[in-house]
Amino acid sequence: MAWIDLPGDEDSPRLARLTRSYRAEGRPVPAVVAIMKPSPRTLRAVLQLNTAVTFGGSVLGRRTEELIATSVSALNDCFY
Amino acid sequence: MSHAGFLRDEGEPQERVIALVRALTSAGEHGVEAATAALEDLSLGDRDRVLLDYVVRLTLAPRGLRRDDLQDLLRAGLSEREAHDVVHVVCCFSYMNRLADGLGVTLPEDRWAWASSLYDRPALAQHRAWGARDPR
Repeated sequence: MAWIDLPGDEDSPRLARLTRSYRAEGRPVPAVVAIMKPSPRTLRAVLQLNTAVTFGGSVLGRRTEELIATSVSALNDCFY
Repeated sequence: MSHAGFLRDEGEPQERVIALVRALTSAGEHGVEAATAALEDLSLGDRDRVLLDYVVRLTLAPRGLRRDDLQDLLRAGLSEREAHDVVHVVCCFSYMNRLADGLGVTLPEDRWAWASSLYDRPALAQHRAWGARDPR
């Protein structure tokens, strides 16, 4: 849930392409990813950044990435 | 706090993840010194401690960083490429945090139980109330 209305995963061909991998895995698009659907261009760019530096994409390894992610989110008091 | 679950899934003991989240959440609002002091009470290895000291400074007070702070990472054994990626991971999650908090993104129900265990305050109830969409 969010404070703005969001398009469906397949409301446009571009969104359908960008969210295809989640459907293929049988899981919903994470809410913090879905929030970018009003701007598919932004969604695509941020997904590329996430792939490059998180979820094992950096040279740090997944455990260190998650240690940093958890710490930053706690310091920012971000519940999500 | 979704990534606290991923940290646990990476093999970090649950009680250590909970201690980290509670310490940094409560200390974060009091600034760098409080957050750095909170890290001292956690049983961190030397590399993690130096890494998180830098993460605290970059997250809470980026303008206060000096070259020496980066050198601390290198002296702890990180390569320049690793230090570069530390900064990018901090930036990435600061961005995602603000995306979530700026647009009212709430945690999905399947993560509520885990999220509740992370805090020693009624944070889930506060989060759900915060994220509610008021009819206008």
